[in-house]
Amino acid sequence: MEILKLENLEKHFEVHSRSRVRRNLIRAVDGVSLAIPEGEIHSIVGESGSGKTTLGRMVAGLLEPTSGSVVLGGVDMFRSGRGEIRNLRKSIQIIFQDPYASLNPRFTVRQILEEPLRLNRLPVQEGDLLDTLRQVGLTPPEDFTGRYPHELSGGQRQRVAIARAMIVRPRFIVADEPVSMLDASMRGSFLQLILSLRKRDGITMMMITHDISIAHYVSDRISIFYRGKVVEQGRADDVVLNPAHPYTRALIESVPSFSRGDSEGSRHPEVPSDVPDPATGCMFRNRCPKAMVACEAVPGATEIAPAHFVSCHLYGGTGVK
Amino acid sequence: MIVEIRGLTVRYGPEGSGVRAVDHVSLDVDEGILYGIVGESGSGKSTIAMAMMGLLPHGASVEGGSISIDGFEVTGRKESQLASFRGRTASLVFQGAMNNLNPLMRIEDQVAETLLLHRMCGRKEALERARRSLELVGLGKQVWRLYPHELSGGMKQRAMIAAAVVAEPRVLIADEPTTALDVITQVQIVNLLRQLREKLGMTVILISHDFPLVSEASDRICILYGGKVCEVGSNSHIVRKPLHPYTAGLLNSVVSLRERREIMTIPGEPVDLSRPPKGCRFMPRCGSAMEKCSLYAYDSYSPEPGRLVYCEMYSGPDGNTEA
Ligand SMILES: Nc1ncnc2c1ncn2[C@@H]1O[C@H](COP(=O)(O)OP(=O)(O)OP(=O)(O)O)[C@@H](O)[C@H]1O
Ligand SMILES: Nc1ncnc2c1ncn2[C@@H]1O[C@H](COP(=O)(O)OP(=O)(O)OP(=O)(O)O)[C@@H](O)[C@H]1O
Ligand SMILES: [Mg+2]
Ligand SMILES: [Mg+2]
Repeated sequence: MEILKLENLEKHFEVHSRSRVRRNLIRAVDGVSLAIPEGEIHSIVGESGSGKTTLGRMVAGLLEPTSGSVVLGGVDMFRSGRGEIRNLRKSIQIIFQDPYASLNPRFTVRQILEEPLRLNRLPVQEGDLLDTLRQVGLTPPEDFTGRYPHELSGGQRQRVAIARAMIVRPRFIVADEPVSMLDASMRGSFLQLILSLRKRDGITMMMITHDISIAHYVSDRISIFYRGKVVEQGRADDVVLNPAHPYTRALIESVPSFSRGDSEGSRHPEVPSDVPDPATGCMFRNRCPKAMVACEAVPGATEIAPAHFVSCHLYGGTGVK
Repeated sequence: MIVEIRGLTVRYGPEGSGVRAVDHVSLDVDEGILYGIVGESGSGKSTIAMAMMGLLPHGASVEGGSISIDGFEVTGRKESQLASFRGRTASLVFQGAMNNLNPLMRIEDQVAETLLLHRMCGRKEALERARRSLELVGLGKQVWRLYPHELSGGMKQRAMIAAAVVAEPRVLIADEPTTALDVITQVQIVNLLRQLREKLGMTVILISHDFPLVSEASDRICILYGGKVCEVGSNSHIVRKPLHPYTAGLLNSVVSLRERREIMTIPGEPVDLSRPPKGCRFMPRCGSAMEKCSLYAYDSYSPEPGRLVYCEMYSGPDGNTEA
């Protein structure tokens, strides 16, 4: 059964620029629908500014959508009664993107871990606290409980942020770029931790990342995000090994790899970066090597293979709007 | 050899306390190549870059060693002596600088500023040269008169590179020039750096924690760990047959999109510079550590021509010590 269901979720920000009188509407999240079954890891992959954090904050109940719904464990996040939502909060945790900003500098590690327990009116159990620290590799845990964030390295802070999310034993975790601060070797340990938690506790997770290699490694399904929309979605292997959307293809084509190390000459991706967004239609079309007249309309999603969806006119996506 | 660094040691904080962020680093860069420096966060990459420009921040000091760029000794110079060196002999694209563009200034003016600041020419010529430089990095007319907020991240980074090369330096140092960019734009920036090398014969030093990216771009690679060099060699040598256990660990821990395999991790924590281990800094995490590693004097060995490794595994009869 699906634990999370997003329906036509939108978040628009209005920004007033000083130099121009014109008001701009940023469609940070623009009509996202997806479902995550219990026990699955679903990654949202997209470039900087594509709306990933905005989506994650809505899913965690921290930001009210402009329209659409977030249904978690059968409860509508923004339309249910307070009691129901409070209960829901216990089962969902978010790991924030920036561990420098999200850990209270005046709290010790112990206080940081106790806070979510207290907020959720759960008892503080010493054994649990130490165990959680151990699980994220902060060992011996007694060495860490008394430290303040500034006494930790960037990677250690990120682990405290992870421990804080895990300590209430949530059913669902939103992890926003959880490994961006970790160096290559620690990143591996975190990914292994996630996989083992899923095995042990059956945790469900929405992982936000700009790194498609990491998404491929840990997730069951991947959604490719572009300018607030899901342009492709499917099983991790399908999306990575048989990418269909021209944006996904360019993304995968551009991932650096050792095997190309000394191939002479430079690679020339077909997709330019330095072009403005179109005002209407497919948002990728100004950069797209396959753009055609049809792309002036917003493409709908087409199922090109079982459970593999693409929003692109190349695949017969019928125009809407 | 256009860049020769010998035994560079840089400290943050007062003598006796503080941290040695760069410790006896030696590097040789041949003219006209793209030289990659790889190291994890805190390994001293930016510190080396700033030392090369004579631009260490307040509180940092060069404790020892020398840096010669195109025959010019950088260490121990007065500001006035460095003015003509910066921009013309060597130029640095600072880490994160694309976010520090002046929001009130047109792109072309910001690029021209470098020339005016160093009084290299008059206003009119500066603007002309700025535009030529912008064109060189792929930013055409329609961009010249825009303001930073009207540019994408990739365009801003190109503008930073244009500003760095406007006075046609012999050596361009780019510190994490791709970090905030998406992979599609990353490739384009790396291609631009290669073009600068190919078209202008510029020597380019690319600094990044992204090992695969550096390996796609570079001719030679230097691996740093905890403020020290682990090994130096040609790109293909380093990637195909790493000598230092840390390099091997790094290669194994990279998550690859093309081959799905178990990722291996390097156990342990990164080195705490305020309490570095005695001897080899990587020793506490090293699977091949031996007793002498805690004593070693940070010697380099050259088990194969063109390669240099700072590891006691190679001190046997085959490895010949270099001074
Ligand atoms: N509170 C806000 N007010 C106005 N605009 C906002 C706000 N929050 C986000 N945005 C804009 O919405 C868009 C999406 O931002 P978001 O932070 O969700 O992107 P992201 O994919 O998480 O990016 P990154 O990878 O850089 O973290 C951006 O254009 C951003 O500037
Ligand atoms: N102004 C400073 N005062 C004190 N310590 C500093 C200062 N700047 C850097 N350091 C320390 O020096 C070491 C090397 O820093 P440096 O910025 O050179 O690393 P880096 O390899 O560029 O890292 P990154 O990949 O995060 O940019 C780090 O341990 C850092 O904490
Ligand atoms: Mg974000
Ligand atoms: Mg740096």
